[in-house]
Amino acid sequence: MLRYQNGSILIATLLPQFTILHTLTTSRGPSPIVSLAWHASSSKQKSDMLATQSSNGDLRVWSVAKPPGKESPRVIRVLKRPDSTSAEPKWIGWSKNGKIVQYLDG
Amino acid sequence: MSYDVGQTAIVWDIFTGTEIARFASFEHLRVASWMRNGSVAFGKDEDLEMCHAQELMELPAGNGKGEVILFEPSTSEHISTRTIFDPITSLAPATDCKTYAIGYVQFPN
Repeated sequence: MLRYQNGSILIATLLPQFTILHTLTTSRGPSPIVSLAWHASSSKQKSDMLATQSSNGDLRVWSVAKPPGKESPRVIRVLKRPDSTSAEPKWIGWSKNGKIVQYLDG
Repeated sequence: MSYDVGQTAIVWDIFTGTEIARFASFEHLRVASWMRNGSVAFGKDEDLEMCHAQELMELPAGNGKGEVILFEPSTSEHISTRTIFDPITSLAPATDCKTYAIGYVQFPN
């Protein structure tokens, strides 16, 4: 089943109507997104970080400008799952000081 | 917040164990997340349902047809918004309570 699924990520506003601000694309073959998590930056910083976890094991961190419409988001960190592990990613979360917790099953 | 196979989401007060609000959906909800301002958004299999935008405390959730629902626990109001016609697999509201990162799955033809 996983072979036939692609994943995509949109950054959008919903009100007053659905408006796509950015489409996050990757050169590596896309797979369904298991988890998304924003890390809120301080008001002085010009961007927020968004962590994305794909079901194929890739964990990416994107820098998204504030407000989001100004610049295109860019990847600032990529963690690829080693081929040796078969653990399935389930969930990610940010700690307050900017560290990511990744929970895998198996 | 809990969500069961009866397609009902319940917002709990974890300190007292009491039920704050209940939201029943006609369709299957896949993901749900808290927004920073206290609202919840649901994703349904087609539309985004949202509660009264900015002034409310809202819960957003995304479903299998690209819908996001925003549910306001205190008033039980909800608003639905369509996005693209793909199932939503993950949903993260940004801290401005207006922008969302939405993850979709696509099935090539």
